[in-house]
Amino acid sequence: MPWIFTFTGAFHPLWATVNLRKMLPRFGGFLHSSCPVYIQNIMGKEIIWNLIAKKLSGEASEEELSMLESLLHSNPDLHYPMQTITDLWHSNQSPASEEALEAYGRHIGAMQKLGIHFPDENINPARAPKKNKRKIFFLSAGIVLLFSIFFAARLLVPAAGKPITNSEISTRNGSRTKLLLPDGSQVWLNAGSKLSYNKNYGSSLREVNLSGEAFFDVQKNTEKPFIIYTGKMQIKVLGTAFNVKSYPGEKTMETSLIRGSIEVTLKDRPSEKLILRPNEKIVVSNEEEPLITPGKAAAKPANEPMVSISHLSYLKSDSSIVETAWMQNKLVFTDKSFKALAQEMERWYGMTIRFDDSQRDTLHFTGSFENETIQQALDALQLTTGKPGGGFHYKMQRNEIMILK
Amino acid sequence: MIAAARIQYLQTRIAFHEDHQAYKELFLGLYAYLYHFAFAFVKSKQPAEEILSDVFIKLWEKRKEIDRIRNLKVYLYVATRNFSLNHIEKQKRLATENIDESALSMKALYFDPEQLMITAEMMNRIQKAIYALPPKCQLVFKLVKEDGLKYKEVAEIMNISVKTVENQLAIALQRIGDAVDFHLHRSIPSSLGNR
Repeated sequence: MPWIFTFTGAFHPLWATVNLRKMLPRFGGFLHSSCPVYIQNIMGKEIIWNLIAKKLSGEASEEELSMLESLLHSNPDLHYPMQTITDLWHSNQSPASEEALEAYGRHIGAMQKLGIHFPDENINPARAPKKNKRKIFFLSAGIVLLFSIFFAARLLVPAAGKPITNSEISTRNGSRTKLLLPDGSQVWLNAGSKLSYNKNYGSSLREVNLSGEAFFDVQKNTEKPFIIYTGKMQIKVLGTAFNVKSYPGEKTMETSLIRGSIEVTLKDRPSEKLILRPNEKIVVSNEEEPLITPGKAAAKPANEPMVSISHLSYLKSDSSIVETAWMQNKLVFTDKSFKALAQEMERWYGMTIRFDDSQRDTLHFTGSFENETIQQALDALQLTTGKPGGGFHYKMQRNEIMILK
Repeated sequence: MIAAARIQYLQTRIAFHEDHQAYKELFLGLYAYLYHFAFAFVKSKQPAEEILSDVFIKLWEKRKEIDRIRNLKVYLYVATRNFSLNHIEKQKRLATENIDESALSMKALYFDPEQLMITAEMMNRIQKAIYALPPKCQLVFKLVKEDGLKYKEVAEIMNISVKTVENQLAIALQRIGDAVDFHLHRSIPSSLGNR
C-alpha cells in the first residue's frame, strides 16, 4: 500500500486559532509590543506556517490574514523565510506545452488504434518536426540578425552618461503626492522630492532617478529590472515594496525594505552588491567623516561611504513602521537632533526654520506628529525638554520660524 | 492551471457537443499536472503517459455522462490516482520486485534562483528541504502550490482529511522556512562598516 505515511506532531492549529482569536481584540496592541515570547510559547511556529500556507494558497479568511499579520509583527525573524517562500510560491514554471502536444498526438493515435471514434484532426506527429526545424532555423537566424542590428545601433549611438530625462515629478515642501508609473508601479513621493524617468522607461529596463524620499511598490517583472539612481546608491529590484530616503545635503541616505528583496550597489564600489532582506534597512553616510564607528575611521580611505544595515523600527503605539510612517501622514522621529528634525519639519510643513546660534544642536527628540500645526508641534517639543522655558524659544514670521535660546 | 470556470465550460462542450477542440484543450491544459501526478506513483515515464491516455480515453467514452460530474478536475485527478494504483498492483503481480515508494519525483518543481534573487546555495538548501519531506507531504505541497488545487480538492483526490492537508502543508512550509532561515552570514566586506 503506497500511501501509508506517518504524520509528525499532534498539534492542533484550530484549537490555537480559537484561543488567539479570543485574545486578540483585547490584547492586540499589547501582543506585538511586549509579549512576543508569550505567543511563541503558546502556539509554536506551526500555527504561523499554517496561516502562511493558507494565505499563499488563497484559503485564508480575513480573520486569519489579520491574525497572520499580527503574528508576523511579533516574529520579525520570520519575515525573510516568509518572503522567500512567497516568491518561491509564485514562481511557477509554465508546464511545457510542446510535450503535452506530442503526448496528445500519441494519445489520439492510441484511440484510433482502439477503434474509438474521434473526429480526425490531421495530426501527423511523424511529419511535423521536420518543418518545424527549418522554421526554427530561419527564425533564429532572424533573431540573431535583429540582435546584431540592435547592438550595432547601440554602439554607433554615443552612449549618454545619464539617462535623458523626459518626465519629472516633484513635490514642494509641505506637500506629498502619489503617482503611477507606465508599468503600473506606484510611487508615493514625500515632500521636497523629485522623481524622473525617460521615455525609454520600461522598454528594457525601468530606470528612475530620485532625489528626496519615496515609497515604491514595484510591479513584478523579472525581465525588466527596476533601477533607482539616487545619490551614492543604486537600487535594483524585480518587484517589491520599499522606502528610499535620499535628500541632498543630509548626512545619510537610507533604503528600507518592506517586502521582496532588493540589491543595493554603491556608486564608488560598483562591484559589490548588498542584498537587503525584508524588515531591514541600509544607511549610507553622505559625509566623508565616519558615521558609526569613529574609532576605526582613520583606517579607511576618506571617500568611501560608511554603510550599516539594521532592522526597521516599529512604533510602540500601533506597531506601524517608523520608516514609512510618513505615508500615513505621520512625521515620526527617534532620537533626532533638533537641527535634523528641523530639516524634516521644514519639508513637512513647508516652512523655513532658522537657528540663531549654532550651539543649539544638543537637544534630541523622539516622538511623532500627525495632525498638529507647526505651532502645536513646536510647543510640544518645548514641553518635552523638561526645562523651564522649554530649553528654547521660537518666533514665527509668515513662513519663517526662528529658534532662539 | 486552467481556470475552474474554463474547465466547466469545456466539460459541457464535450458532454453536449462532442467538441473535440474542447477535449484537446482540456487534455493540453491538464496534461503536465496529471502526468506528474501519475509519475509520482509509477515513477516511470512510459506508464505515466499511458495512464493519462487511459484516463482521457475513458473520459471520451463516457462523454455523454460527464455533465453530471461536479468537479471534473478533481475527477480526473482521482481517476489518474486509481489508474496509477492499479498499474502498481499489476506490476507487483507481474514481478516480485519491490517498488520503491520512498521518493516522489519532484521534477515539476523547478525554481530559478536568478528570478528569485537568492543564491544558488540557498536554492540548494530549499531543494534539499523539499526532497527531504515525507512523500505525501511533498505531494500535498505540489498539488496546492503547482497545480493550484484547493485544500478540499487535494483532500478528495488523496483520500485524506482537509485537516491533514492543512497540517502537511504547514509542515512543508515550516521545513522550507527553516532551511531558508539558516542564519545567513552575508559577506559584507569589513571595510564597509559594522552591522
